[in-house]
Amino acid sequence: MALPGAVFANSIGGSVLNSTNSNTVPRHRAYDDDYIKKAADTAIFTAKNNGASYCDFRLSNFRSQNVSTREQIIQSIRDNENFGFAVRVIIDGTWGFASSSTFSEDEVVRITKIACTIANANKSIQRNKVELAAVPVYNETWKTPIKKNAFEVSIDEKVNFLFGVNEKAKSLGADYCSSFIWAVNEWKYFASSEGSYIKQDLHRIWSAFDITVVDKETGNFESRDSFTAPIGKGYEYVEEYDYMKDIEEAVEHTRMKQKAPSVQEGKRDIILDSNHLWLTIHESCGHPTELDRALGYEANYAGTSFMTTDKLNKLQYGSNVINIRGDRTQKDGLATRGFDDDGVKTTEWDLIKNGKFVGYQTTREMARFIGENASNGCAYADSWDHFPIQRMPNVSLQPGEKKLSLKDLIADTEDAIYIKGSGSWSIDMQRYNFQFTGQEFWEVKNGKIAGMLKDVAYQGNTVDLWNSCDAVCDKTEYKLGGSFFCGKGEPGQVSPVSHGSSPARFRKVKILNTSKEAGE
Amino acid sequence: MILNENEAKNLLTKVLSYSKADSASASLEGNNTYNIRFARNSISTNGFSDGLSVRISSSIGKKTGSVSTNKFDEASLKNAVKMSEDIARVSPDNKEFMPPLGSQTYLNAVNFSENTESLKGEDRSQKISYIIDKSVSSDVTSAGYMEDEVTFIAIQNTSGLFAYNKASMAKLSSTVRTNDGTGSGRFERNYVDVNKIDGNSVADWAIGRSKLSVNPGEIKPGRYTVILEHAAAADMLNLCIDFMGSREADEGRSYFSKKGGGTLIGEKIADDKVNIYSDPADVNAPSVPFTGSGEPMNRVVWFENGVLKNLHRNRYWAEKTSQPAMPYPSNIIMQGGTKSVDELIAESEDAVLVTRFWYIRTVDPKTMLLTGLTRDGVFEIKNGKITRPVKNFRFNESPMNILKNIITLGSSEKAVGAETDDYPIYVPAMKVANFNFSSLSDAI
Repeated sequence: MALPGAVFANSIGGSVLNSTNSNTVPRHRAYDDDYIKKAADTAIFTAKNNGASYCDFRLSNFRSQNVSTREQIIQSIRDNENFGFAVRVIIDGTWGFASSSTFSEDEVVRITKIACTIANANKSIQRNKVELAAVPVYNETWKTPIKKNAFEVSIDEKVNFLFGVNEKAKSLGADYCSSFIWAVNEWKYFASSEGSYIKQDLHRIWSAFDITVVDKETGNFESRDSFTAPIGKGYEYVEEYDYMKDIEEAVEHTRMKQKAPSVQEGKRDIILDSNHLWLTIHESCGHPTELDRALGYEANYAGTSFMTTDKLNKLQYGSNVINIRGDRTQKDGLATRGFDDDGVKTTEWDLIKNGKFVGYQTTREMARFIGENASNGCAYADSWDHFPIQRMPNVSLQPGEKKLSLKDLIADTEDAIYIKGSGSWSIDMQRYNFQFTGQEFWEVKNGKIAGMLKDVAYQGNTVDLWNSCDAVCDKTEYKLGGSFFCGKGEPGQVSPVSHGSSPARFRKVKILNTSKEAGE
Repeated sequence: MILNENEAKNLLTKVLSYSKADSASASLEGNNTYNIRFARNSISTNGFSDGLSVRISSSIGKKTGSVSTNKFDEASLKNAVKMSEDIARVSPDNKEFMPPLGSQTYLNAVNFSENTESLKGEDRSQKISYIIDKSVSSDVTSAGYMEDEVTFIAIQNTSGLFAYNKASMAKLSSTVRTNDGTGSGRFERNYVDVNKIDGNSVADWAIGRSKLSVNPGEIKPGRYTVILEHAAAADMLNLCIDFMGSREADEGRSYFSKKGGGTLIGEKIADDKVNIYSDPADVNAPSVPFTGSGEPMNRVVWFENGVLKNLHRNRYWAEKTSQPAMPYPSNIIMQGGTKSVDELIAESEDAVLVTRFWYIRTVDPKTMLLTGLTRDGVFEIKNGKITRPVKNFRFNESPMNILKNIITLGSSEKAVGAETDDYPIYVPAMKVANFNFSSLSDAI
């Protein structure tokens, strides 16, 4: 079979660059743009010759560096680089996908043919033919706007920083302290048979600590995680965050928690801080507004959604102060990028408007199921050997329009529990029934913080909770939280995602005493 | 990519020949993996992955650095080895550094099947085709997943250790929902040998369960006698083992810590019928007979007649506390009785049958309190019979309370829970008293 020119041959213009001894040069830089483009064109050519109506080629390099410590001990220093490519084809409305970690001319042809063979083998059990929403052709490059590349900061500097964190915690009275810095660089090249060629260089970082205080005599121990957030930034995040203040508060508040009274169960108002609320948003709004879930594509793994398509533009999901947007362009967001893994330019849109459910997260394959002509750019694969599926954009609660600080909100509250930090979380497979705990629980009485509580969990139903929200603080209180590891799909994939919010108040929520729940 | 033992040894020897460190180890992992996913009674995504990667750990004195790569040309391998040494060099001493192990003896592995390795595309399609066709003719909607793979792992170090294991795994699962959205059934199976998956039979069972569970009624949340089917019991057991770290217990921050110091090893903390052990060579739940660092995995008893016998600990903690090293187990086996689930139902006057759990998370490590939900069929049992389907519950319960409150154990089988993934677990169905359902869920 003829190829479109002798791809991979140095004489054609592409070249394999000399490998370098530098530790900081990522793998993909061994290949120049012409070389990679010719590989992509080979895959597309081969796919078309084997009957494909669509083909995309994705070359990816996933780098991660994780430095983990405990007290003055290094638990691990790991530097990972995972490089490979995938070819995705559609033949007669059926997907075929294959991937390899060996990047060579012969392998691109072999893998493309396997993808076509798989598509042909599965046609007989295909009852719903794949149709992709239209997308413009792009030839662009996009990069996370970082100030300081974490991979260019020495291991030594990172270890010393973390040892400093742990030492500070110990000196203040923590019995144990662990901490880590985790940096990720995701480089992707996407090309499709429709003519797009897109290159992206994405960065994110997560740095956190946790402390434990133990009373061996009573067997009572309590822990507290840092209030840092994983974020779409470079090493500047580590340098800008006020770790010392967080450590001081963590130790002081954990000791207070050991002696705090156990909460009285019953219905109480709650105020959720941004460093807690992000996870509530993630679980109770981010996931149920995924269109693939609502349609049943995740029924066997991540679950379905109570927010089915018949409820779109009808369901009063929350009170009228609730406005939640999907946004893959949000500053510092973990899901922020220029293009998704379908080659769709990213955007922002309403999911919940004045409390009403008005939008879903979509991919090119899913958009047509709700009558949309275009995807809102939510396809993502967490590795070169995984099929891109619909993943969550940054999903954020919009700040209240009226001036309202956290201090104002507490002052306006008669009796409530103010919850900070994310603890345990669990929600059912359709996203109705949830139960969350936190890191710190503060009792609010007559407009003031009255003291700390422990053993607190709150439980309820998604729609009831969001409809009970009567106040969201203004934009001066807005912060991002997020996760590196939102799980979905088979084989399992993780995706990074941020959620912004200002603190918000919810009325008459069911509070549980976790100690009593354990039968203590 | 699958390398045989000789190929792996040659490649690892080459990698380690580049080492200038005081000691080094290298591990290779490769896979050939096929998957097919289906939903809405139709194929959705699929794929083939051919992977090979190497991890190099270099130690200079008590400083260690690790690097992994999946590029195997000579320059890249040399660079990876050098980079691991550079990381080690700039690292401070690791006070918990343990020197690499020398040559080891391992149990004979039983975790590979040629039937799985030789599976063809049409074999996969046939298994899924049955589920889809039967779902369509039964007026229900199925979603599911099939994956089969051959993998290998090989480890070598500069102290003479070499370990190699080639493994296979085939898994099939499907969630079946009734078209009115009020009923759900689910099965999940994974075996080393694909021929052990009787896909047609379990698909029929799941379709039956989906229909049996339609239009659930309500039971007031509270404490009930429950029959946990195998998948539900597997989750509780797996999560219990997670908590059984020796170090945390010794440090006073675990359920297994004793007030005033020490641990609960040697104390009777579960029902007499609780016998739990690990054994990679057990054909009911075969696993790799060594750890990622080449430490042998042997038979270990965790509970014997309700008495806690062991907690897992790494080599450093073992040496520091003068206790035997006990790696995190590569499988879990709990001895059961002889009764089937149907027999457990038949002998129950008043109980709730729980098919599976979902989204289980730790609420409080002090009490090992877990929260999660039931799914894919909860049923009221009265006078030895299923009387009606009931709504799903959120539970708040500790796996240790379950092991204390066992009434009867059914027969054991290989089971896959909501949180167990591919971890091999062989577990009995359990009839348990006083299980805490906290609230109702409308989810199906």
